[in-house]
This record gives sequence, C-alpha cells and structure tokens, in this order.
Amino acid sequence: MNVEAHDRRFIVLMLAPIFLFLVFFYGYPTALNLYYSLTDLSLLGMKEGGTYVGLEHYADLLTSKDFYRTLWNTLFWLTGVSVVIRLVLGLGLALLLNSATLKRYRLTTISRLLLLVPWATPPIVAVVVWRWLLDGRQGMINKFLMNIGVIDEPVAFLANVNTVWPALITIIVWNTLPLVTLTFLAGLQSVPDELHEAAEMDGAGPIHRFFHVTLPHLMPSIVIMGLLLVFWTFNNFIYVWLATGAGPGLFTNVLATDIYIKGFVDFHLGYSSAVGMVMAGIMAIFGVIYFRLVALREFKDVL
Amino acid sequence: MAKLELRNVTKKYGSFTALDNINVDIAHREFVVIVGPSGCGKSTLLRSIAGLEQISAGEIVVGEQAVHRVPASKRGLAMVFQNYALYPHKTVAQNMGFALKIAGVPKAEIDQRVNEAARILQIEPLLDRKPKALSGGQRQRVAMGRAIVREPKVFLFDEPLSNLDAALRVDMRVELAKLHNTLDATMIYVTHDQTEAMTMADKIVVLRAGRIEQVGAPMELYHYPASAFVAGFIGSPRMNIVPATVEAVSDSAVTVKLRDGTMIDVPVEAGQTRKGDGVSFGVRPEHLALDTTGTSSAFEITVQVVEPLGGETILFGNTSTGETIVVKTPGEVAVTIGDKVKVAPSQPMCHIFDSDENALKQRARGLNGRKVQ
Repeated sequence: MNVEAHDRRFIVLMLAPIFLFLVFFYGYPTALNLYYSLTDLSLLGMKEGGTYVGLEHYADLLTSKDFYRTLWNTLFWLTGVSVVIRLVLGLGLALLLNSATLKRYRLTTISRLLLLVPWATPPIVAVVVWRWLLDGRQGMINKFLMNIGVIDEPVAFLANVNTVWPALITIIVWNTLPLVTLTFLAGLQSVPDELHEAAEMDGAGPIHRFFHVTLPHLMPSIVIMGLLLVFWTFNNFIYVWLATGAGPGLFTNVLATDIYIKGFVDFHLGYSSAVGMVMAGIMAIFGVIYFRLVALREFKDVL
Repeated sequence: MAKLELRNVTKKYGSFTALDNINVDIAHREFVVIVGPSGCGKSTLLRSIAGLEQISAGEIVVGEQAVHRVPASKRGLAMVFQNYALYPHKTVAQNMGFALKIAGVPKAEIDQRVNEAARILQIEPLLDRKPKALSGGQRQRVAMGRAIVREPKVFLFDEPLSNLDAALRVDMRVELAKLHNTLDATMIYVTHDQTEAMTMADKIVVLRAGRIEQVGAPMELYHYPASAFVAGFIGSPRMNIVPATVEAVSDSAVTVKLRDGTMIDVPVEAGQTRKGDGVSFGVRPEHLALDTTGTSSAFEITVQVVEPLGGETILFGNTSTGETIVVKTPGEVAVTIGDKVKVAPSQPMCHIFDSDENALKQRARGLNGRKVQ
C-alpha cells in the first residue's frame, strides 16, 4: 500500500464520525423537514401522516402579505438594526475600555468585570428582568422617566407598536453586547504599540490612527463577529417569544416565532416546515455571499 | 535637516531615573550613534527625541525650536523601528506615502517621491506588495523608505538592523552609511552593537545607566576611552582589563605591577594616583603580541582556546594568577591549547584606570581631544 492511499484511508477514518453525525442529526432532519413542507401534515394527524401537496405551501408563503411582514421584521428589525447597533456600540465600548484614561485611574479590571454581568445573565432571566423594568405600571424605567419629566404618563413599552422594537432590541443588545465588546477588546489589545507609534511619527493624529491602524487591524474580528451575530440573531427565537410573544398581535412576529406559531399554535406542521426551509435558504445564501465578498478578502490580508 | 540639541534631558519613571541630565549637541548632517548595554536608557533617549516619551526635565531643540512639548506627530522627525512597524494592510507604496497623504501632499507628488525613494533603496518591484510578502531585509528597506520620502529634519533609528541575519546586517550597514552621504541628513542611531557604532558614526554617545559615559568620534573612543566601561564596550574583542598596583610614578610614565609580578611602564599622567594604589591595567587584544625576545613587560599566559580566522588568530588564555587574557595576532600562529606563551603589550597603547574606573590621561600619542582619521 503506498503512502498516498494510506493517508487517504486515515483521512476518511478521521472524518467519518463527524460525517455520520452530520448525516443523522442534520441531513436526515433536513430531508424530513423538506418532505413535510410538501405535505399538509397536521400536528393533530401525525399518525395518519399528510398528503402530498407539492409546492402549495411555498406558493402560499410567497404570496402572503403576512409572510413579507415577518420577513421584514426578521431581516430589518431583529437582525439588521440589532447587529449594527451591537457592532458600533461594541467597538465604542472596547475603545473606551482600552483607553489610556481608564488605565491611568486603574479602572480597567473593574470595568471589564462589570461588563461580564449582562453576559453571565441567562437570556430568560434577562428578558424577565427587562419586562419588569419596562412594565407599563410598575416599571422602574417608566417611574424614572416620569420623575425626570421626559414623559407625562406611563408607556407600555412592550405593548406599544412605536416602542416595542426599540425595547426588544435594547434587551438583545444589553444581553449580548459584552461578547462583542470583549472580542473587539482582544483585537484592540493585539494591535502592536509600534504601529501606533509609527503612525504618530508619520504625523497621524488620533482619528487618522483609528482609521489607518486600529480599524484595519480589527476588520477580521468585525467581519467574524458580524457574521456570527447575524446567524445567532436571525435564528433566535427566545428574545421575541419571551418578551412579546410576537405581539402586540403579530406585530413583532419573526420567522422563528412564525414557525412555532404555525406549527404548534395553528397545528400546520407542513406549512411551518416550509417557513423553516425558506429561513434555512436565506441563511445559506447569506453565508455564501458574505464569505465570498468580505470574509475571504479580510483574511487574506491579515492571516 | 537640522541640528539637534539635548539640554539637561532627564526622564524619570516614578523614583527610577532612566535618563539623567543628558547633554548632547548634534550638528546638521551628523551621524550620531547612541550605544550602551541593555537598559542603559538609549532607546528611551531616542523615544524622547521622537516625542513618544515625555521628558521629565530639560529641553530638546531641533533647529531653533524647542520641541519637547510638541507631540510626536508634529515634530517632523522620522523614525525607523526595530520591528519595522509597517502597516500590514497597506502596500509598500501606501506605507511609504502614508505620512505625505496625512500631510495633504498632492497624489502626483506622493507618487513621485515614493518612486524616488524606492529607486534609491532598490525596492521598485515591491511597491505593490503587502509587507507580509516581503523578506526581513526588504521590510527593513521599506521602513527606511517610509522615513526617506518624508525628507525629515532628523532621522531616528532604533536598532534597525538587529532583526537581520549577520550577512544582511553588514550589507545594510554599508548602505545606511551611503544613504547618509546621499541624503545629506542628520541621523541618530541607537544600537547595542559596537561594530555598527564604530563603522557608521561621526560621533558616538556611550550611555551607561541613564548617564553619558563619553561622547566622541569612534577613534577617539577607541584610543582614549574615558573609563573602563567605555574601554570594555568599544572595540572587539573586548579590551583586557586586569587588576594591578601602582609601583612607581614618574614624569613620563606610571609603572604598574600585575598580580603575577610583571612590571609595565604605561605613558600616562598619574594625576591623583600614588604609588601603592590599586588600579586596573587595560590593553586591547590587538595590542598584545607573542614575545620571544624576553621583553621585560611580557607576561606568561596558558592558552585555553585558539580561534584561527585565517587573516588573524585569536588566543584566549589565563595568566598564572587566573585572569583571562585575549590576544589578537595577525596571520596564523603555531600555538596549541595548553601551550604557555609570553605576550608583550605595546606600551603606548596601554591604559590605566583608577579605582573609580576613570582612565588616566594618555601622554605619548598626542592626539588628545582630536578626531583621529
């Protein structure tokens, strides 16, 4: 047996476990889900199974106004706005935590510890706490805003269509910002001092140094973080479901909650599976485009 | 291009004094090398001139302007860093043109100046590459190019050659010296390598623990080291410095007795030194010669190591009282390990350092205070 064949056998052997894992726990459910999405399977009729309806669900979906509203909610509000806010705030906070001023007053460690508090809070706890804070009658935030005179009467933040998205995004940002900040902070700390000094000698002030030294150095972290946040948030179910139950009405309904509602509230498993397939499709397309356009270029530069 | 003056420059970190009252005048076009062992403050001094460190007291004057309160970005000095510090995401051309871009120089002029610098440094084919794709020597050139395009008042070099391999270091040393002539520039260069100092400098500043030990032309430092420290630092292999006692003092010489009893007349002024004082006797390896004629000042060593280098041979041996002595003789010699040989110092080339390690003044060579070419 020659070396190459030996190597090949070794590679196959090493890859086999993960391959089998993917087939059974990813490939099989996906295939099953795809099949369900082509039937009118109902949660009440699991034993009988569903009848084949072809692409009917997909046709319904793509012509439904509600679906496009849900898609818009998912892409723009839940994902787009919250990811951009987290990237920007995370970068700002990381710069602050890395600043010489904090170091001078020896506040670095304490501020980093404080930063971990929201992150260490489980999402369910975070959402429950925030629901109390945002409560229309008893909420601290209402009381505070009324005390300082910003508002005259209480606002039910999570029940008012004007405030529900900002309130929801606030909860998500609060709970997940620390991870973003810490990632960027680690990136900032790996910028060699000499680069900043070289830029200083080249006549660059703080703003030029940020754009020509700091930001390019952080770009790979920003790209990776952005990608992860998009995946996590786009697929996320708990924040919306726990905070608003997709309400008021279905005002904050997103794809993840829609799957749950269609499948387990309305019992339409077939239709719900079709929504799931669309969701997976969008993610797949997004992932491919993202890596092609941005990620590869950033990595080639630095790695 | 400009002259540069350091007046009473002092830098303290808390209670630690990194630079203690440094005074140096650097003339326009001068190539000044700051040398000293690790931790002597040489990099701190350079960084203070650059503006990357704030000095605690004193003045730094570039041209006619006191700059020690001016931020680094506004001093108009260029610095080449030990690790090059090239911007990794910019091409070579962008790296070199960055300072000009910041300064708002028109694109056409930036291109022209970058190309000119690239031509001088012979890195034209590399202009579109990123630093990652360059070798150590190429990065070094780009780092220099980045300084050159700015046409700065003063160039600052922080151990720029220490990351290169030995052969490349020699090449770059020669090129730097050429560059200095071509550019007509004032250069300040920090190194711990005395060879770089000796070969490139117009003037060497020897630092020790934050203080200036001696300032002078390379040959001045070589022939007239002010202290045992400078004597040991300048010249390679290092000067042999062994304990001795003053045996006699006359108008023309001081006679010392080595521990093995050898008497040597050294033509220096005695100053405060008296008969019976403990001193150090210093002689460079190249000023010791194998002796077969029975010279009275010759002493015996037992050879421990022989390094034949072809053009010269370096012998490492011990005196009968255990001091290590290094001898550098021209050509090849028929000496093997374990041989006992006599070596004689060339007396006018010997040095005596008093108990405070200060050199006694030389008299015979008559070159005091003057640069020797």
